[in-house]
Amino acid sequence: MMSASREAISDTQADLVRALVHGTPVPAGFDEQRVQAVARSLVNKRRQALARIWPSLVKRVGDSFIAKFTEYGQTHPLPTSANALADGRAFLAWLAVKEPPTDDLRIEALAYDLRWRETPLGLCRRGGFGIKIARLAQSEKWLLGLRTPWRGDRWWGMPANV
Amino acid sequence: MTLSLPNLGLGIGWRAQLAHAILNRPDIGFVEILAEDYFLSETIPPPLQALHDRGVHIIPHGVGLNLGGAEPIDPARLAALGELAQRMQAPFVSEHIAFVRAAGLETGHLLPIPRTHAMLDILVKNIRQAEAALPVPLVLENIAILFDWPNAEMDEAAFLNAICERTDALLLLDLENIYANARNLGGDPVALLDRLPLERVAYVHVAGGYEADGVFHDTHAHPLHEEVVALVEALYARMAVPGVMLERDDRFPDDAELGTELDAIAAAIARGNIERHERGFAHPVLSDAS
Repeated sequence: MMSASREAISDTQADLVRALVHGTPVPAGFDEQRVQAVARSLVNKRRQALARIWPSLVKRVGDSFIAKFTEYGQTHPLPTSANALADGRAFLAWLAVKEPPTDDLRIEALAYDLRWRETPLGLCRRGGFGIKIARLAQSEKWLLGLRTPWRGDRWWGMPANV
Repeated sequence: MTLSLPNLGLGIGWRAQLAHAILNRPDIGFVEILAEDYFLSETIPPPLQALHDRGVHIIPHGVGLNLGGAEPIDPARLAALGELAQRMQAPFVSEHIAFVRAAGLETGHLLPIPRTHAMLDILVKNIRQAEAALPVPLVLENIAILFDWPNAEMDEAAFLNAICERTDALLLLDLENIYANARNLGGDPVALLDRLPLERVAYVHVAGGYEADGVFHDTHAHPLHEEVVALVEALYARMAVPGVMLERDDRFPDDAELGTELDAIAAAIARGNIERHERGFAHPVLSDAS
Protein backbone atom coordinates (compact mmCIF):
# COMPACT_ATOMS: atom_id res chain seq x y z
CA MET A 1 0.00 0.00 0.00
CA MET A 2 1.21 3.49 -0.79
CA SER A 3 1.99 5.90 2.04
CA ALA A 4 0.02 9.14 2.05
CA SER A 5 3.02 11.18 0.92
CA ARG A 6 3.90 8.75 -1.87
CA GLU A 7 0.28 8.81 -2.99
CA ALA A 8 0.24 12.62 -3.01
CA ILE A 9 3.41 12.76 -5.13
CA SER A 10 2.06 10.07 -7.44
CA ASP A 11 -1.20 12.01 -7.90
CA THR A 12 0.56 15.31 -8.62
CA GLN A 13 2.97 13.64 -11.08
CA ALA A 14 -0.06 12.16 -12.88
CA ASP A 15 -1.83 15.55 -12.93
CA LEU A 16 1.31 17.24 -14.24
CA VAL A 17 1.79 14.67 -17.01
CA ARG A 18 -1.88 14.95 -18.02
CA ALA A 19 -1.51 18.74 -18.14
CA LEU A 20 1.56 18.34 -20.37
CA VAL A 21 0.16 15.65 -22.66
CA HIS A 22 -3.60 16.25 -22.68
CA GLY A 23 -3.70 19.97 -21.86
CA THR A 24 -5.72 19.48 -18.65
CA PRO A 25 -5.41 22.21 -15.95
CA VAL A 26 -1.92 22.72 -14.50
CA PRO A 27 -1.77 21.47 -10.86
CA ALA A 28 -1.92 24.16 -8.15
CA GLY A 29 1.32 25.88 -7.24
CA PHE A 30 3.10 25.30 -10.58
CA ASP A 31 4.05 28.12 -12.97
CA GLU A 32 1.19 27.75 -15.46
CA GLN A 33 2.90 29.60 -18.31
CA ARG A 34 6.12 27.61 -18.02
CA VAL A 35 4.27 24.27 -17.82
CA GLN A 36 2.30 25.19 -20.94
CA ALA A 37 5.52 26.23 -22.68
CA VAL A 38 6.96 22.77 -21.91
CA ALA A 39 3.74 21.14 -23.19
CA ARG A 40 4.17 22.92 -26.53
CA SER A 41 7.84 22.01 -26.71
CA LEU A 42 7.05 18.32 -26.17
CA VAL A 43 5.17 18.07 -29.47
CA ASN A 44 7.97 19.96 -31.25
CA LYS A 45 10.54 17.67 -29.68
CA ARG A 46 8.65 14.58 -30.93
CA ARG A 47 8.38 16.09 -34.41
CA GLN A 48 12.08 16.93 -34.54
CA ALA A 49 13.06 13.46 -33.29
CA LEU A 50 10.88 11.90 -36.00
CA ALA A 51 12.37 14.14 -38.70
CA ARG A 52 15.88 13.06 -37.66
CA ILE A 53 15.17 9.34 -37.60
CA TRP A 54 12.66 9.03 -40.49
CA PRO A 55 13.43 11.80 -43.03
CA SER A 56 11.70 10.01 -45.94
CA LEU A 57 8.39 10.10 -44.06
CA VAL A 58 8.70 13.86 -43.56
CA LYS A 59 9.54 14.38 -47.23
CA ARG A 60 6.60 12.28 -48.41
CA VAL A 61 4.07 14.00 -46.14
CA GLY A 62 5.29 17.23 -47.71
CA ASP A 63 4.87 20.87 -46.77
CA SER A 64 2.01 20.22 -44.39
CA PHE A 65 4.13 17.93 -42.19
CA ILE A 66 4.55 20.42 -39.34
CA ALA A 67 0.85 21.33 -39.22
CA LYS A 68 -0.28 17.72 -39.48
CA PHE A 69 2.16 16.33 -36.95
CA THR A 70 1.30 19.12 -34.51
CA GLU A 71 -2.41 18.26 -34.78
CA TYR A 72 -1.63 14.57 -34.26
CA GLY A 73 0.83 15.21 -31.40
CA GLN A 74 -1.57 17.43 -29.47
CA THR A 75 -4.21 14.70 -29.39
CA HIS A 76 -2.10 11.55 -29.26
CA PRO A 77 0.52 10.82 -26.57
CA LEU A 78 3.89 9.30 -27.35
CA PRO A 79 3.57 5.49 -27.78
CA THR A 80 4.54 3.50 -24.68
CA SER A 81 7.85 2.49 -26.27
CA ALA A 82 8.69 6.25 -26.25
CA ASN A 83 10.31 5.54 -29.64
CA ALA A 84 10.31 8.16 -32.40
CA LEU A 85 9.84 5.59 -35.20
CA ALA A 86 6.84 4.12 -33.39
CA ASP A 87 5.51 7.66 -33.00
CA GLY A 88 5.91 8.10 -36.76
CA ARG A 89 4.02 4.86 -37.49
CA ALA A 90 1.17 5.96 -35.20
CA PHE A 91 1.17 9.32 -36.99
CA LEU A 92 0.83 7.54 -40.37
CA ALA A 93 -2.08 5.47 -39.02
CA TRP A 94 -3.79 8.67 -37.77
CA LEU A 95 -3.16 10.35 -41.11
CA ALA A 96 -4.59 7.39 -43.08
CA VAL A 97 -7.90 7.75 -41.25
CA LYS A 98 -8.05 11.46 -42.05
CA GLU A 99 -7.23 11.22 -45.74
CA PRO A 100 -6.52 8.34 -48.15
CA PRO A 101 -2.76 7.78 -48.00
CA THR A 102 -0.61 8.29 -51.07
CA ASP A 103 1.22 5.24 -52.40
CA ASP A 104 4.46 6.67 -51.03
CA LEU A 105 3.08 6.90 -47.51
CA ARG A 106 1.59 3.40 -47.69
CA ILE A 107 5.02 2.08 -48.71
CA GLU A 108 6.63 3.87 -45.74
CA ALA A 109 4.09 2.30 -43.36
CA LEU A 110 4.43 -1.19 -44.89
CA ALA A 111 8.22 -1.02 -44.73
CA TYR A 112 7.99 -0.19 -41.02
CA ASP A 113 5.50 -3.01 -40.41
CA LEU A 114 7.68 -5.56 -42.18
CA ARG A 115 10.75 -4.57 -40.19
CA TRP A 116 9.71 -3.49 -36.68
CA ARG A 117 7.78 -4.77 -33.71
CA GLU A 118 7.00 -2.38 -30.86
CA THR A 119 7.69 -3.53 -27.31
CA PRO A 120 7.63 -1.61 -24.00
CA LEU A 121 11.46 -1.54 -24.12
CA GLY A 122 11.57 -0.05 -27.62
CA LEU A 123 11.47 -1.34 -31.17
CA CYS A 124 12.57 -4.85 -31.93
CA ARG A 125 13.73 -5.78 -35.41
CA ARG A 126 11.56 -8.63 -36.66
CA GLY A 127 13.37 -11.86 -37.47
CA GLY A 128 12.43 -14.90 -39.50
CA PHE A 129 10.06 -14.78 -42.44
CA GLY A 130 7.53 -12.06 -43.11
CA ILE A 131 5.34 -10.94 -45.97
CA LYS A 132 3.35 -7.80 -46.83
CA ILE A 133 1.07 -7.47 -49.83
CA ALA A 134 -0.79 -4.30 -50.73
CA ARG A 135 -2.61 -2.89 -53.73
CA LEU A 136 -1.45 0.66 -54.41
CA ALA A 137 -4.39 2.77 -55.58
CA GLN A 138 -2.52 5.60 -57.33
CA SER A 139 -0.04 3.61 -59.38
CA GLU A 140 -2.39 0.61 -59.81
CA LYS A 141 0.29 -1.79 -58.71
CA TRP A 142 0.57 -4.69 -56.36
CA LEU A 143 3.34 -4.35 -53.83
CA LEU A 144 5.01 -7.39 -52.33
CA GLY A 145 7.41 -7.20 -49.41
CA LEU A 146 9.27 -10.28 -48.25
CA ARG A 147 11.49 -10.68 -45.21
CA THR A 148 13.81 -13.68 -45.06
CA PRO A 149 16.45 -14.48 -42.46
CA TRP A 150 19.26 -14.41 -45.03
CA ARG A 151 18.28 -11.53 -47.35
CA GLY A 152 16.48 -9.12 -45.00
CA ASP A 153 13.64 -7.06 -46.49
CA ARG A 154 13.02 -7.02 -50.27
CA TRP A 155 10.24 -5.32 -52.21
CA TRP A 156 8.67 -5.93 -55.63
CA GLY A 157 6.04 -3.99 -57.56
CA MET A 158 3.71 -5.53 -60.16
CA PRO A 159 1.05 -3.90 -62.38
CA ALA A 160 -2.38 -4.62 -60.87
CA ASN A 161 -4.27 -4.90 -64.17
CA VAL A 162 -2.56 -8.04 -65.41
CA MET B 1 32.80 4.27 0.26
CA THR B 2 36.14 4.15 -1.54
CA LEU B 3 35.88 5.56 -5.02
CA SER B 4 38.05 4.32 -7.79
CA LEU B 5 36.90 5.93 -10.99
CA PRO B 6 38.49 5.43 -14.40
CA ASN B 7 40.18 8.44 -15.95
CA LEU B 8 37.85 9.31 -18.84
CA GLY B 9 39.33 12.55 -20.14
CA LEU B 10 37.54 14.28 -22.99
CA GLY B 11 34.29 12.77 -24.26
CA ILE B 12 31.32 13.26 -26.55
CA GLY B 13 27.80 11.94 -26.93
CA TRP B 14 27.89 9.28 -29.65
CA ARG B 15 25.64 10.14 -32.62
CA ALA B 16 25.87 8.47 -36.04
CA GLN B 17 26.07 11.94 -37.64
CA LEU B 18 29.25 12.65 -35.64
CA ALA B 19 30.89 9.26 -36.21
CA HIS B 20 33.52 10.63 -38.60
CA ALA B 21 34.44 13.56 -36.37
CA ILE B 22 34.67 11.30 -33.31
CA LEU B 23 36.89 8.70 -35.02
CA ASN B 24 39.23 11.52 -36.11
CA ARG B 25 39.80 12.78 -32.55
CA PRO B 26 42.39 10.50 -30.95
CA ASP B 27 42.06 12.44 -27.68
CA ILE B 28 38.47 11.24 -27.14
CA GLY B 29 38.57 9.02 -24.06
CA PHE B 30 34.87 8.19 -23.75
CA VAL B 31 31.54 8.32 -25.53
CA GLU B 32 28.05 8.14 -24.18
CA ILE B 33 25.36 6.17 -26.03
CA LEU B 34 21.58 6.50 -25.70
CA ALA B 35 20.88 3.30 -23.78
CA GLU B 36 17.32 2.72 -24.99
CA ASP B 37 18.48 2.69 -28.62
CA TYR B 38 20.55 -0.44 -27.92
CA PHE B 39 18.26 -2.39 -25.57
CA LEU B 40 16.92 -4.77 -28.21
CA SER B 41 19.99 -5.27 -30.38
CA GLU B 42 22.53 -7.92 -29.53
CA THR B 43 25.63 -6.56 -31.17
CA ILE B 44 27.88 -3.50 -30.95
CA PRO B 45 27.64 -1.32 -34.11
CA PRO B 46 30.98 -1.40 -36.03
CA PRO B 47 31.92 2.29 -35.47
CA LEU B 48 31.42 1.88 -31.70
CA GLN B 49 33.37 -1.37 -31.77
CA ALA B 50 36.23 0.50 -33.48
CA LEU B 51 36.25 3.09 -30.68
CA HIS B 52 36.04 0.36 -28.06
CA ASP B 53 39.02 -1.43 -29.63
CA ARG B 54 40.94 1.83 -29.32
CA GLY B 55 40.27 1.84 -25.57
CA VAL B 56 37.51 4.43 -25.62
CA HIS B 57 35.05 3.90 -22.74
CA ILE B 58 31.40 3.52 -23.79
CA ILE B 59 28.86 4.69 -21.22
CA PRO B 60 25.17 3.75 -21.61
CA HIS B 61 23.03 6.77 -20.75
CA GLY B 62 19.37 6.02 -20.04
CA VAL B 63 16.34 8.27 -20.13
CA GLY B 64 13.56 5.80 -19.35
CA LEU B 65 14.21 4.31 -15.87
CA ASN B 66 11.91 6.88 -14.27
CA LEU B 67 13.98 6.95 -11.05
CA GLY B 68 11.98 9.94 -9.85
CA GLY B 69 8.62 8.26 -10.47
CA ALA B 70 6.40 7.31 -7.55
CA GLU B 71 6.34 3.66 -8.68
CA PRO B 72 9.13 1.08 -8.34
CA ILE B 73 11.50 0.70 -11.31
CA ASP B 74 10.55 -1.73 -14.09
CA PRO B 75 12.86 -4.76 -13.62
CA ALA B 76 12.88 -5.42 -17.39
CA ARG B 77 14.40 -1.98 -18.04
CA LEU B 78 16.98 -2.50 -15.32
CA ALA B 79 17.91 -5.90 -16.76
CA ALA B 80 18.25 -4.40 -20.26
CA LEU B 81 20.45 -1.57 -18.94
CA GLY B 82 22.62 -4.00 -17.01
CA GLU B 83 23.04 -6.29 -20.03
CA LEU B 84 23.97 -3.31 -22.19
CA ALA B 85 26.60 -2.20 -19.66
CA GLN B 86 28.16 -5.66 -19.81
CA ARG B 87 28.02 -5.83 -23.61
CA MET B 88 29.79 -2.45 -23.84
CA GLN B 89 32.13 -3.28 -20.92
CA ALA B 90 31.04 0.04 -19.48
CA PRO B 91 32.62 1.39 -16.29
CA PHE B 92 29.16 2.59 -15.19
CA VAL B 93 25.73 3.58 -16.50
CA SER B 94 24.02 6.93 -16.09
CA GLU B 95 20.44 8.08 -15.68
CA HIS B 96 18.57 11.19 -14.57
CA ILE B 97 17.15 12.56 -11.34
CA ALA B 98 13.76 13.01 -12.96
CA PHE B 99 10.50 11.35 -13.87
CA VAL B 100 9.39 10.75 -17.45
CA ARG B 101 6.03 8.99 -17.19
CA ALA B 102 3.00 8.78 -14.92
CA ALA B 103 -0.59 7.58 -15.18
CA GLY B 104 0.45 5.36 -18.10
CA LEU B 105 1.50 8.36 -20.19
CA GLU B 106 4.98 8.73 -21.68
CA THR B 107 6.19 12.31 -21.98
CA GLY B 108 9.52 11.66 -23.71
CA HIS B 109 10.86 14.44 -21.49
CA LEU B 110 12.83 14.65 -18.24
CA LEU B 111 10.53 16.25 -15.70
CA PRO B 112 11.44 17.76 -12.32
CA ILE B 113 10.65 16.03 -9.04
CA PRO B 114 9.77 17.80 -5.76
CA ARG B 115 12.77 18.46 -3.50
CA THR B 116 11.01 17.20 -0.38
CA HIS B 117 11.89 14.55 2.21
CA ALA B 118 8.97 12.39 1.04
CA MET B 119 10.29 12.46 -2.55
CA LEU B 120 13.81 11.79 -1.33
CA ASP B 121 12.58 8.59 0.38
CA ILE B 122 10.97 7.39 -2.88
CA LEU B 123 14.00 8.34 -4.97
CA VAL B 124 16.47 6.66 -2.61
CA LYS B 125 14.38 3.47 -2.66
CA ASN B 126 14.34 3.49 -6.48
CA ILE B 127 18.09 4.21 -6.70
CA ARG B 128 18.85 1.37 -4.29
CA GLN B 129 16.64 -0.97 -6.32
CA ALA B 130 18.56 0.02 -9.45
CA GLU B 131 21.96 -0.27 -7.76
CA ALA B 132 21.11 -3.76 -6.49
CA ALA B 133 20.17 -4.91 -10.01
CA LEU B 134 22.96 -3.26 -12.03
CA PRO B 135 26.36 -4.90 -12.56
CA VAL B 136 28.15 -1.50 -12.57
CA PRO B 137 27.82 1.72 -10.52
CA LEU B 138 24.90 4.05 -11.25
CA VAL B 139 25.67 7.69 -12.09
CA LEU B 140 22.92 10.30 -11.66
CA GLU B 141 22.48 13.48 -13.67
CA ASN B 142 20.97 16.78 -12.56
CA ILE B 143 18.40 17.95 -15.14
CA ALA B 144 17.49 21.29 -16.68
CA ILE B 145 14.06 22.48 -15.63
CA LEU B 146 11.82 25.29 -16.84
CA PHE B 147 9.48 25.10 -13.85
CA ASP B 148 9.84 23.85 -10.30
CA TRP B 149 7.55 22.12 -7.84
CA PRO B 150 5.99 24.24 -5.10
CA ASN B 151 6.90 23.69 -1.43
CA ALA B 152 10.55 22.64 -1.87
CA GLU B 153 12.10 21.65 1.47
CA MET B 154 15.68 21.69 0.12
CA ASP B 155 17.60 23.51 -2.57
CA GLU B 156 19.30 21.54 -5.36
CA ALA B 157 22.68 21.30 -3.59
CA ALA B 158 21.10 19.98 -0.39
CA PHE B 159 19.00 17.51 -2.38
CA LEU B 160 22.01 16.18 -4.32
CA ASN B 161 24.03 15.90 -1.10
CA ALA B 162 21.20 13.97 0.55
CA ILE B 163 21.03 11.53 -2.40
CA CYS B 164 24.80 10.96 -2.18
CA GLU B 165 24.64 10.44 1.60
CA ARG B 166 21.88 7.85 1.38
CA THR B 167 22.97 5.89 -1.72
CA ASP B 168 26.19 4.79 -3.44
CA ALA B 169 25.29 6.77 -6.55
CA LEU B 170 27.87 8.84 -8.38
CA LEU B 171 27.08 12.17 -10.03
CA LEU B 172 26.93 13.15 -13.67
CA LEU B 173 27.22 16.88 -13.26
CA ASP B 174 25.55 18.67 -16.16
CA LEU B 175 27.07 22.16 -16.11
CA GLU B 176 24.82 23.31 -18.95
CA ASN B 177 21.77 22.33 -16.90
CA ILE B 178 23.11 24.17 -13.86
CA TYR B 179 23.71 27.24 -16.04
CA ALA B 180 20.25 26.99 -17.67
CA ASN B 181 18.47 26.60 -14.32
CA ALA B 182 20.35 29.59 -12.89
CA ARG B 183 19.22 31.69 -15.86
CA ASN B 184 15.63 30.52 -15.77
CA LEU B 185 15.00 30.13 -12.05
CA GLY B 186 17.82 32.08 -10.41
CA GLY B 187 20.87 30.95 -8.44
CA ASP B 188 24.64 31.13 -8.68
CA PRO B 189 26.23 28.17 -10.55
CA VAL B 190 29.68 28.62 -8.96
CA ALA B 191 28.21 28.85 -5.44
CA LEU B 192 26.35 25.59 -6.23
CA LEU B 193 29.65 23.90 -7.25
CA ASP B 194 31.11 24.88 -3.87
CA ARG B 195 28.34 23.00 -2.07
CA LEU B 196 28.31 19.78 -4.12
CA PRO B 197 30.15 16.57 -3.16
CA LEU B 198 32.58 16.92 -6.09
CA GLU B 199 34.48 13.77 -5.11
CA ARG B 200 31.36 11.85 -6.22
CA VAL B 201 31.38 13.29 -9.74
CA ALA B 202 32.01 10.53 -12.31
CA TYR B 203 31.85 12.84 -15.32
CA VAL B 204 30.46 16.09 -16.62
CA HIS B 205 28.11 17.16 -19.43
CA VAL B 206 28.36 20.42 -21.35
CA ALA B 207 26.16 21.49 -24.25
CA GLY B 208 24.75 24.51 -26.02
CA GLY B 209 21.36 26.16 -25.85
CA TYR B 210 19.61 29.37 -26.82
CA GLU B 211 17.26 31.93 -25.36
CA ALA B 212 13.76 32.56 -26.73
CA ASP B 213 11.01 34.68 -25.16
CA GLY B 214 13.05 35.20 -22.01
CA VAL B 215 13.55 31.46 -21.44
CA PHE B 216 16.86 29.67 -21.93
CA HIS B 217 16.39 26.33 -23.69
CA ASP B 218 18.85 23.53 -23.18
CA THR B 219 18.76 22.31 -26.79
CA HIS B 220 22.04 20.43 -27.36
CA ALA B 221 21.68 21.92 -30.85
CA HIS B 222 23.49 25.26 -30.51
CA PRO B 223 27.08 26.33 -29.86
CA LEU B 224 28.53 26.07 -26.37
CA HIS B 225 28.21 29.20 -24.24
CA GLU B 226 31.36 30.78 -22.86
CA GLU B 227 29.77 30.80 -19.41
CA VAL B 228 29.43 27.00 -19.51
CA VAL B 229 33.06 26.59 -20.61
CA ALA B 230 33.99 28.89 -17.70
CA LEU B 231 32.12 26.53 -15.35
CA VAL B 232 34.35 23.65 -16.55
CA GLU B 233 37.34 25.75 -15.55
CA ALA B 234 35.75 26.67 -12.20
CA LEU B 235 35.02 23.00 -11.53
CA TYR B 236 38.58 21.85 -12.30
CA ALA B 237 39.95 24.72 -10.20
CA ARG B 238 38.19 22.95 -7.32
CA MET B 239 38.50 19.29 -8.27
CA ALA B 240 39.96 17.21 -11.08
CA VAL B 241 36.93 15.10 -12.00
CA PRO B 242 37.39 12.03 -14.26
CA GLY B 243 36.04 13.51 -17.49
CA VAL B 244 34.00 16.09 -19.39
CA MET B 245 31.88 15.44 -22.49
CA LEU B 246 30.07 17.49 -25.08
CA GLU B 247 26.46 16.71 -25.97
CA ARG B 248 25.37 17.62 -29.48
CA ASP B 249 22.09 16.11 -30.65
CA ASP B 250 20.92 18.18 -33.60
CA ARG B 251 21.95 20.83 -36.14
CA PHE B 252 25.23 18.97 -36.32
CA PRO B 253 28.29 21.14 -36.90
CA ASP B 254 31.09 20.26 -39.31
CA ASP B 255 34.21 18.53 -38.01
CA ALA B 256 36.11 21.82 -37.64
CA GLU B 257 33.42 23.53 -35.56
CA LEU B 258 33.00 20.47 -33.37
CA GLY B 259 36.77 20.29 -32.98
CA THR B 260 36.86 23.93 -31.84
CA GLU B 261 34.31 23.20 -29.13
CA LEU B 262 36.20 20.12 -27.92
CA ASP B 263 39.42 22.16 -27.91
CA ALA B 264 37.70 24.86 -25.83
CA ILE B 265 36.65 22.24 -23.26
CA ALA B 266 40.16 20.74 -23.13
CA ALA B 267 41.65 24.22 -22.69
CA ALA B 268 39.22 25.00 -19.85
CA ILE B 269 40.22 21.75 -18.11
CA ALA B 270 43.90 22.69 -18.50
CA ARG B 271 43.32 26.22 -17.10
CA GLY B 272 41.33 24.81 -14.17
CA ASN B 273 44.08 22.31 -13.40
CA ILE B 274 46.66 25.12 -13.28
CA GLU B 275 44.46 27.25 -11.02
CA ARG B 276 43.95 24.31 -8.67
CA HIS B 277 47.67 23.60 -8.42
CA GLU B 278 48.43 27.30 -7.91
CA ARG B 279 45.89 27.50 -5.12
CA GLY B 280 47.65 24.54 -3.55
CA PHE B 281 46.36 23.82 -0.10
CA ALA B 282 43.57 26.36 -0.35
CA HIS B 283 41.52 23.68 -2.13
CA PRO B 284 42.92 20.31 -1.14
CA VAL B 285 42.40 17.72 -3.85
CA LEU B 286 40.95 14.57 -2.33
CA SER B 287 41.12 12.25 -5.33
CA ASP B 288 43.04 13.61 -8.23
CA ALA B 289 41.96 11.38 -11.10
CA SER B 290 44.33 12.82 -13.68
